[in-house]
Parts: sequence; C-alpha cells; structure tokens
Amino acid sequence: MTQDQISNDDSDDLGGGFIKNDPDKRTRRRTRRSATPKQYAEDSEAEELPKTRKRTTRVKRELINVDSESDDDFKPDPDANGVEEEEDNIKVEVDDDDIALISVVKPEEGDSAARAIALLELDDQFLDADPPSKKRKTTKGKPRAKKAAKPKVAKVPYFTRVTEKLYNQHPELKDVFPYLLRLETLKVERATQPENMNVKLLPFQLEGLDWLLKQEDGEFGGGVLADEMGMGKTIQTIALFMSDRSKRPNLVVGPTVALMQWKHEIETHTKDGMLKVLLFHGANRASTAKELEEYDVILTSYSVLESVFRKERYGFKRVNGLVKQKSPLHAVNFYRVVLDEAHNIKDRTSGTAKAANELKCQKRWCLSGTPLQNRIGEIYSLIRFLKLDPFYKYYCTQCECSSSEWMFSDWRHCDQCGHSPMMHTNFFNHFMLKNIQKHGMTGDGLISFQNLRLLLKHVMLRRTKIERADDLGLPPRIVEIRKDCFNAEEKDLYLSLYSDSKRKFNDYVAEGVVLNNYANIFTLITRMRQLADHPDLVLKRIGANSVAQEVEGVIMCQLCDDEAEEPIESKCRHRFCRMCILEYVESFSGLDKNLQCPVCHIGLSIDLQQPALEVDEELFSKASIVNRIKLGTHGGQWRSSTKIEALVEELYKLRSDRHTIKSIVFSQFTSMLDLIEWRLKVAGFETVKLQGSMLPLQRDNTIKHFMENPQVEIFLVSLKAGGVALNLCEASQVFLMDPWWNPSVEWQSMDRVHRIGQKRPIRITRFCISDSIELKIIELQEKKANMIHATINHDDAAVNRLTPDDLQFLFMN
Amino acid sequence: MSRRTRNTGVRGPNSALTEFLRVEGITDAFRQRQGRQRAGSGRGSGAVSETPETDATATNGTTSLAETPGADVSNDLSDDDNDVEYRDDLFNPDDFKQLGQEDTCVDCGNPFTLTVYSRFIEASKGYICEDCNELLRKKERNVRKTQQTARKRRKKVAKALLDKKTVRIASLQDICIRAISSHIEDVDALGDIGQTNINKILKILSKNRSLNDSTVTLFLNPSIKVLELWDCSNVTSDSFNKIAAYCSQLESLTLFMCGQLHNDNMTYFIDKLPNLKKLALNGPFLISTPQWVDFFEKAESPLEQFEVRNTHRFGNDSLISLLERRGNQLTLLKLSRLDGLDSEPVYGLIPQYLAPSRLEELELSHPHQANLIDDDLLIHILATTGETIKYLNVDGCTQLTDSFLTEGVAKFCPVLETLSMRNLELITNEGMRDAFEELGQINYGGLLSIDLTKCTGLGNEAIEAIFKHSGKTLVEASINSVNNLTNSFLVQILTDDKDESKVLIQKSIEDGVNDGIDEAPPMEVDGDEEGDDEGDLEAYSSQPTKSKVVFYLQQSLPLLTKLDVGFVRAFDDLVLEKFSEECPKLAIVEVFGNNRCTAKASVRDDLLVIGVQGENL
Repeated sequence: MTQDQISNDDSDDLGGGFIKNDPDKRTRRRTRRSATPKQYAEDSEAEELPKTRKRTTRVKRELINVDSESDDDFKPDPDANGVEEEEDNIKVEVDDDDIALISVVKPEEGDSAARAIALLELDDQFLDADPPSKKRKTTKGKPRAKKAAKPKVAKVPYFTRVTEKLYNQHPELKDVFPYLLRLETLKVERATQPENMNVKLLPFQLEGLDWLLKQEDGEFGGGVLADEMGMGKTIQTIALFMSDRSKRPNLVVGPTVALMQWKHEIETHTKDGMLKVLLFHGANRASTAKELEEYDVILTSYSVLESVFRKERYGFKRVNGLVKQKSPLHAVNFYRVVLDEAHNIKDRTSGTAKAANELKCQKRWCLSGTPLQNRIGEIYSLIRFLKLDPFYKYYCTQCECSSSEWMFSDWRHCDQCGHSPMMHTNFFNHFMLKNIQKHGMTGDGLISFQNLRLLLKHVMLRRTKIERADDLGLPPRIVEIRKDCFNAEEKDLYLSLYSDSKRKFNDYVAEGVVLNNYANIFTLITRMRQLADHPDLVLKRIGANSVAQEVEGVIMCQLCDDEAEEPIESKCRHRFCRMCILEYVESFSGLDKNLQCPVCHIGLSIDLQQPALEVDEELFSKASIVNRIKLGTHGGQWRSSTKIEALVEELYKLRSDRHTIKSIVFSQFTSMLDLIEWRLKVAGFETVKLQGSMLPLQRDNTIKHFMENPQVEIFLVSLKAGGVALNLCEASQVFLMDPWWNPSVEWQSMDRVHRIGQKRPIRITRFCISDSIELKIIELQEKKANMIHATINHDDAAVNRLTPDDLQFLFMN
Repeated sequence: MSRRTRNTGVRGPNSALTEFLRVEGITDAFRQRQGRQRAGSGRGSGAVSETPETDATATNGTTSLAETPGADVSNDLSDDDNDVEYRDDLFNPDDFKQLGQEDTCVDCGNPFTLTVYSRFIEASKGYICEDCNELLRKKERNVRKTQQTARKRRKKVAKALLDKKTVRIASLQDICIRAISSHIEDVDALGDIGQTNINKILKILSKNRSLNDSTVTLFLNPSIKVLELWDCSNVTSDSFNKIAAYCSQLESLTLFMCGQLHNDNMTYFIDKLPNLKKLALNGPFLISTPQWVDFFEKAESPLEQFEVRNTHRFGNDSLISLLERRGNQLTLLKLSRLDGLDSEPVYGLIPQYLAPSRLEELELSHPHQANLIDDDLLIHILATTGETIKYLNVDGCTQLTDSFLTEGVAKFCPVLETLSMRNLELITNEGMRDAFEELGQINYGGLLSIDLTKCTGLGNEAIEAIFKHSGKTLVEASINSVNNLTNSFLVQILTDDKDESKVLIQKSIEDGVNDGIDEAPPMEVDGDEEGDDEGDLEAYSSQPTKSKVVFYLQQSLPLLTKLDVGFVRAFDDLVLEKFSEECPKLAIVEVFGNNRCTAKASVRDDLLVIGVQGENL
C-alpha cells in the first residue's frame, strides 16, 4: 500500500518536529491518518511543513491534534495543514518559507514519468560515474555521529533515520544495492533461432531471446520486456516458449483485444501442433485445472483473471447466498506467467493486480511498450508482480518483521509483529520512490533515482525503434495536418455555439471561478469539438432528431453525449466512456480533490481501470446515429460535413488503378464513425468497423476480413476501442479525425501501421477545421510540447493538463 | 395519456380561460400545423395534409415519436413516413370502430370483419379487407424489391465512380486480361503476351495485392526493356535480383512500394543493368545512404532519369553523389518526401551540377522542412535549366512565395506544360496574376495541366489570368480549396459576354454601383442577376459592407478534361451545369465538400461528377 505508506511517513514527519522517539503519544493520531488515502501532490507539500513548526509548544500540538482528527477522516488535509500554518503564523513568524517551499516543490510532483522514461533509455555512463551505494554510505555515517552527539540540535532527515532503523533491524538489506552494482549485466549476444518456427527472427529479436533465456536462469526469474511498440515482443515471447517446450504450461494474460492476435501469431509463427493453445475466455471456458494443464499456452484476459479471482476470494451472489468458486487459473502451477501490456496492473490495489500476484508460477514476465505512463509508482506494481525480493516487501523499523503484504487486519497493528503501521515501510517506496518525489533529481532524489535505474538495468530490457531502425527496416513516418474551413452553414452554426460558450467562459473568468467550473467548460469544449466533426453529434438531442432517448438500455456517455463505448461508472452513478473520463481527469490542472463529477459536481471518484459495463449490442445499433438518418429524422436530406467530405476526398485520391492503399480511420466519437461509415458506403467504399463491444472472435474476424481482402480498403476504429494491440500493417495510411489532448494516444494509434512487417511508405493525416477550436487545440499542443522540451524536467502528464491560461487560450479569438 | 381521457369523455377540471377558448372554438391548430410542417418538411408530401376536422385531436396530439410502439406493429409494412397522420386518424372518434365489428372495405366495397390485422388506408380513410390487403402487400413487396435492386445498382455506380469509370460493358480485352490475372499461376501455358498487355496485367495484379515472388517471375524475360511494378511489397529481395539477372536489356525500371528492396540488390544492380536509363523507386527505405553513394559511383548504367520517394535513408551524401556523377546528364529528377535530406546547402548544389538546358522534368516536393527549399533555389535552378523544363512540381514547399513565380517561372520557362504547386499558401492572388501575365510573353504554348490545390491565397484574378493564358490548352486543372473564388466569377467566365446578365453587370458598373466601396475586400460578392443566387447572397453577405461588383470576360476551356474543384464553396449546381455546357471535353469533375452542388444538377451524360454529397441509397 504505497499511498498509505507515504501518508504514514508524512505524519511521522509532521510529528517528528515536535518530539522524537515518542511513539506511544503519536500512535493514535497516526493510525487515523494512515486510513486516509493521500495523493502524492499533497504529500510533497506536507512534507515540507515540519521545519517551520519545530518551535511550537506542547499546548499547540494538542490544538493541532484536534484539528487534524476532525478533518482526517475526510480526505487528504491540506486544509488542516492550512489551519496549522495559520496558527504557526500567529505564534512564530517563519511562514514565508512555507510558501516558497510549496511553490518550489509543486512543479516537480508529476515529473516522475518523464524521468522514468529517461531512465528507461538506460544511460549507463551516468550510473557508472556515480555509484549510488557509496554515496549512501557517507550519508549514513554522518547522521549516526550527529545523533550520538546531540539529537536535539541537528535534525536528522527522516529518510536517514528510517534507513538507519531498517538497516539495524534487517542487516541483509544493507547489501542490496552494492550487490546489484556488483552483479554483472548480461552480455548482449544472439541466441540461436529456435526450431520449428516459421519466421526468421530479426537480429535484435534474437538478442532479446537470449536475454529472456538468461534472465529466467538468473536470480530474478523473469523481468520486464519493454521494447517499444511494434518491435515484436509477442514474437520474442513465442520464441521463448519454443526454445524449450518442456517448460510448460505458460499463461499469457493480455487485454481482450490482443488475445486473438496472440493466438493468431502463435499459429502462424510456429509449426502446426507444436504449441497447444487454449483461449481461456468467454462463457464456455474450461473449468478445471486439469484441463488447463493439458495445454502449452493458455491465453486469458485481465478481466477474466480478475473475475475468477474475485469469485474465488470474495464469492458472488446466487439465490442461495454467497457462492465461492474455485479459480482454475489459480489452481494450476504454471511454469511461466506473461503479462502482456502489463501496465494494466499499474494500479496495484486493483483486483486485477491482486489476481495476477496470486498466480502460482516459477517465472514471471511483463511485456509493455509503455511501462510507465504517469508515475514512477506504477513500476512498483510490476516489481510486486515479479516478486523481486526485497524490493516489493514491507519492513518493520522496530523489529525483524518483514512481509510481502500490507497486513493490518485491524488497521492498527501489524499481524506479525504488532507494531503500528507507522513503523513499517516499503523497501521500494523508501529507497526509490519517496526521495525522487520529494527532491526531484537532486541529493537523495538522485541517489534513489540511480537505485531505481540500477534495478531496472537488471530486470528490464528496452529497445527503441530509433535505436534499431536499421534492423527493423521501418518506413519513415510522415505526419501531416490537413486543414479545412467550414462552409457557410456550418460556420454559422459553429459561431452561435462558440459565442455562447465564450460568453459563459468569460463569465467564469470575470467571477474568477474557472477551475470550479472546469466540468462545465470541459463539456463546452467537447461540444465544440463535436460540432467541428459533424453538427449531428451535437444536435441529435434536439428537435426532430431526438431518437436516442427512446431506446432503452443504451448507456449514454455523459461527457460526449453519445452511446458510451466501454462505459464505466463513477461512485455517483454516472456513466462515461472510459476514454472520455480519462481525458477529463488527465486534463484537469487543479488539485485532485477539487475534481468534480461533470454531471452532479460532487467530488469525482471513479476507478478508471474497472471492467466495462455490459452493453447489449443490438440496442447499441438501434441508437446509432445512422439509424436516425434512416428513420428520416433529417427529412431525407442528410447533409455531410466538411470534415467527412475531406476524408472522403483523401480516400478517393488514394485510389488508383495500379495499387491498393488501405487506410485506418480513427475517431474519438462513436457517432462520428457511424456517420463516416454511412457516408463511405454511399460513396462506394468497402469498410469494416471495430467497436469496443465486440467479442474477441468478432474482432478477429473483422481484422482478418480487412487484412485478407484487397477490396476492403478502410478500417474504422474508435480511438476508445482499438488503440492498443492491433496489428494492421496491411494498411499504410492513418487518418485521425479529431485532435486529442493526449499526444501519446495519437502516437499509439499511429503505431498500428508503423511496425514490423510494414513494407509500404506510410502517412498519417490529422484533420483539423481551421476556423474552429481544433486549430487552437493543435496550437496549444505544439506550444506545450515546445515549452516542455525546453525545460530540463520533461513531464508528459503536463501536456495533458489544462491550466486556466490554456483554457483562456482556447477561448481566445 | 390525455388522448385516452378525451376518448372516454371524462375530463378533469379546467381553467376558465381553457373553457372559454374551447367554447369559442379557438385552438392552437395553426401553431401545431406550423410545427408539423417544419418537422416533416422532408417527409413526403402526404404528411402535411391538414384538415380542419383533425384539429380536435391535433390540439393535444403530441406528434413526438415516443408513442410509436403500439402503432408500429400494424404499421410495419407501410413506410415510417406516415406515422403521425396514421395515428391521428385512428383515434378520431368518428372513424373509431371496435374490433370484430363488420366494416366495408374502402377498396373493393365488400363487407368484412375488422380484426387487429386489418389495415387502415390513410388516403381513403378506412380499413380494407383481407384480400385487398394481400394484393397491396404484394405490390409493396415488389416496390421494395425494385428499391433493393436500385440500391445495389447505385452502389455499383458509386463504386465505379471511385474508379473514375461509368458502368459499361467491359471490352473483350479487359475480360481476357481479368481472366488471366485471376489464373495467373498458369500463365506459362499461354505463351507470349504483348508488352502493353503485360503492363495491364501487372497493374491489375498490383491492385489485387497478388504480385509476389511466384507471379513476378512470369513477366521476366530477356527481351523486355520496360518494367513497371506498382506494388512490390510482397516481392522479396531475391526476386529483385532476378529482375536484373533475367532482364539485362532493361532501359526503364519502375518499382513502387519496394519496401523489401535491399542494399544487396543495389549492389547487384550495379553491373547487371548496363542499359538502364530510368530508375524510379518509391519507398526504398532499406537502402542506406552509403549504398546510394556506392551505386551512383559504380553503376555502369547511363542513368538519365531518376526518381525517388518516401525514404529517410536517402541522405545528403546520396544527393551530392548523384549530382556529381550523373548531374550533367539528367533529364528527369524527382525527389519527394526524403526526410534524410536535411541540409539547405546540399539542395543548393542542384543548380550547380545540372547541365544547362537539359533537364525536362523536375520535382522537389514535400521536403523534410519547409525552409530547405526557398525562392532563390528554384530561381537559380530555373535560370540554369528552365529553357527545357516541361514539368515542374513543387508540392508542399510551403516557403515559396510570389517571387518564385514572378522571378522564376515567369521569366525562364518557355515550354512549361505542367505546373504543380500544392499547399503553397504564401502565393498571393496578385503575384499569381502578374506571373501569368508575364509568362504569356515567353510561353506561347500554354499549360496542359495545373494543380493549385490548397493555394489558399489565390482568388478570382489569379485564376482568370491562368485561364486567359492557357485556357485553350488546359487539360487538367485543380483549384481544390481555393475558397476565395466567387460564384459570380465562376458563372461569368463561362457566360457569353453578350449575355443579358453580363451586359447588366457591365452597365451597373458603369452606372457606378462600386462608388464608395474600397478596393480592399478580398471577397467580392456578386451582384449578378442570374437568379437562383438569393441563398448565396444571404449567406455570403454576412459581411456588413457591400462588396464590389466586378466584370469578368468569358474564357474558353475547349480541352479541359478533368477538373478538381473540391472545397470551393462557391461552386454550385448552376456553375456545374455551366461547365457541363461550355467545356465539351470535360469528363471528370470532383466536387468534394461543395455542399451546394447536389445530385439535382443536370449535366451531360458523359460527365462524371464525383463527390456529390447528400446522395442517398
């Protein structure tokens, strides 16, 4: 429980200023605190506070206790801190530092992602030049001396104190990093091509295979294969299966989309019958462990894994009460477990992550093109799954107790040693995560950073396309923006919406409540983006067009006002497309606790990783916007939009009598895809469409149909559904219908065609209506990208975030 | 719900006003009718036949579709269009009959028993008997069938449109070739096939994506001099070697999408193709910069024409080597989308190595960065070799400005036939006009083809100047997204100068309609009396200032065959009809994004209009 852990440490730190080594007095308060999940953002602020509070008296402390106790049960408490600070202000005049400190720390909080990525590029010189362990030893020596002399005068940093305690109680930990440093990294060699494979592995794939094999034999028993997307992680894994077929069974867990792809690749790349593959998915899956053991490779999805685990652990409701069902997956002793797109378990408290951790196996592998999406903390989840000793364990600073789980059944005392949660710390958090968050890339932070890098050097292999460009033989990637203008009618409509929105926005600005009304503003922007696509996306609720309400059972996304794709539900029971709400959350720039539900405006609480709600396919199509066209709600005179026509023109111009060029069309809005499909059909194109609600088999057939028939030229994919794990290298053109806040989503979609096996020159076209908000969005993206590249601390997450200034920019003429 | 209550005669309490209105017979029928008309304006004419007697129901007959479920069952067969009317009548108390009652068929007049299945005919306001219903159903089925076939046929036509063809009977030759390409594996049995037909078959195979190692070898024989493979993505590197091994007499080699063409192939080509004069490659991204250098330095072939596209490994050194070794004999040089060429000085070398007045075709398009190709470079090149240039393509060199045209093209290109300059947004209306007026002094022939796609700075005057200069010879023209063109301009250049409407315009100008209007506004809104333009006027005149009326002379476009006017919003049905009349050779017009251009325009039968929206299946 990283988060709890962190908050514990904070409170420890808070208290640390008043009195040291006085556990009994603090226990009560701390346990309370530990129960409140905290965000990193607040942590870093809170941590800086104690210095100023050092001089407060005892009486004061009691006062504060009252404050924080009443607030704690709610949420992280910068408010409470605020109160405390104010009181400080009255008594001691040192508060100026506080403000300065906060402003220094704040911008660093999200940095972890970029840094971690830099870290992935494994720049070894840095590491060698500055061995981390030595540095720590020096820091370690110093406090000890000081402490002995006079603890009151010199304040020993919290980190050093805990390190000290940890080393005292767990002497074996001292040697962890020096040992890692001594440990030789695996030499890069090429393995021999495994027999019975139909495909010739590329040079770097053979290197990868060699690394996989050696890593399994090594002490870590697995690792992270983090090659960039489209470099054949799947093939390397299959080669690993093939290199010694007596080591079985293997379990592969991946997103639903990817399962059929796996099956397909195993079938095409290995000789028939060499690997027996079972798809453990759908209603009629095998139910006993015995059946499973007959297969060499078992493929399953994260949602299935989670659900069987849940049914075993917590049971499910039937007429005769709670029923628990044995999970066949957790009964089998696998040789290997491979998690494809392993960032699916990045939230380590989620059921999926827990289910994965409980699998019984000898070797563990994670595959991921983007092992770190936002926070360094995310890598912990992988480390936990890989069971990298001692990095994933919790240690008690008071005794020898160590455990792999955070076991506090009564929330107050460790099940093993009885000490309070405050006394426990997580190795990864302590030595790697915390200091980076606290100090960034300086001092202790740098050391922690190097620790982390040292570890990853031993357990992770990452190659990028640019590094291996010559091996891969990939075509150049050309990205173009096609700009068009509205026609007179659309312009009219757009302007009326725009001036309306702008007026509202200006009102918010005038009142100074921009961030409070973020939800409203976000909706306004979404509407404008939709209008730039096609007016119907916005107008369908109005007048004679309103059919959607009458179709019962269709889940509407409350953000894009469209039939929800992969709908998920918030605590307040509002439903959104996963992508929509993700975008919404990512782009919010204020404090997390201020984030409101876009519908009911109470604090938003939603599990972004939760399994999608069930949708009835038939109802889905009934509500489709095309159905409305057919019903004649447009008076039989349906009009296309500039953007759709631009697409049709592009596709038309690609046609020639001498070659067939296939294309993929991405859009964020489901209805937009429906309209495009309809328009393209009318124009005589053959298309296929991939929807989020399709079953794996349907998806597979759709993809096959597209790949095998030359006359099917266009593949329509919802960005929400098909961003990841699709291999569509028969296509060589990508069209992105609407600009997206998060550039990485766009990159991912481009990677569908820019991957191994692509032999045609490729081009990516982004559509943009230049007299609409879209141009502003693109300008904003570019502006931010430049700004971020200009600073040393790149922060990917900052690209997605919209500050009030950014919003102002969007509404500027 | 309220309707039910009305039918049973039970009413709730009323306000005095409601009572008064009811007694006086004042209803909101008028407003209702208006609303209905607005909602159902496109729904077929039957829907709006409002009669006073239905008013009573109409007052509270909310016409929302929400109440359809019940009606839908029996109404399944008829069109959805009539839902509204149908219900209103059904619940009209006068016509309301109980099930099981005797009724007379409104069609044949025979009595029959009313059942739930009996069908109500709106036109004659009554039910029909089972027999008549059967007949009617049969009729409807036929109608639907023909609709289906029509739809299929429409689809076929749409598909053919995409291929720029009309649906017609294929020639025997085409049928044979198609048969051959589908049984390509056995083609050996057929013996010799002529070169033109081989090319045709190769095109079809490429289109079907069935060109691979086994099929490609069928076309290799020592005698062929020209080989064109359009989609080599499934042809492996071994087969490329075979090309050189089998066809040593090759003079022209075109390989498109040759993603598997490898360094080794180029090494192999060095001494195997002694007669190769033309080499055109698209997407040879596996061939590295040093390999290109090696090839240019050692190859024995007398390379005169060189084209390469879509690779990031054709670097600066490759181009230097090409220019040094082959520069003075090149007649064709096409470089497009070469991301590896990222040095401006290297581009600057091009004019230095080219032999004076030798190059005929030049393409420098889509450079890695816009600033790599600027006005000076092109003026320099054209000054050297402009005298012979027939084909010039500078697509996507967005840095180019007017001076490229006025100082370069207009001064040095006497024989220019094809000019393509897409996405040159910096070119202005005046610059283009001046350039073409000047070009007329040296280039007497006129252009055959011009591509101005997305040159958004252009306007009426520029296009007029172009047509004035080369209207007589122009075969292909693209003014895609040149959105500043006005409707009046397009109409006027195709209308006889003696035409009444134009005379009127001239007169009005003489009378001084333009007095007091600044020269400034870029968009002239037409004041012509062609009728039909009222809508346009309204839409365009959102600018408050009244714009200038301009007179344009008629231009003739006798040879124009293909015209792309996509996203020129002023292009409407009327203009399309004009083009159809005035350009006898016009065969293809592309009108994507022109929402005023509809399927209703009547055009010549042999004119293909592609991209009309709003066509429904």
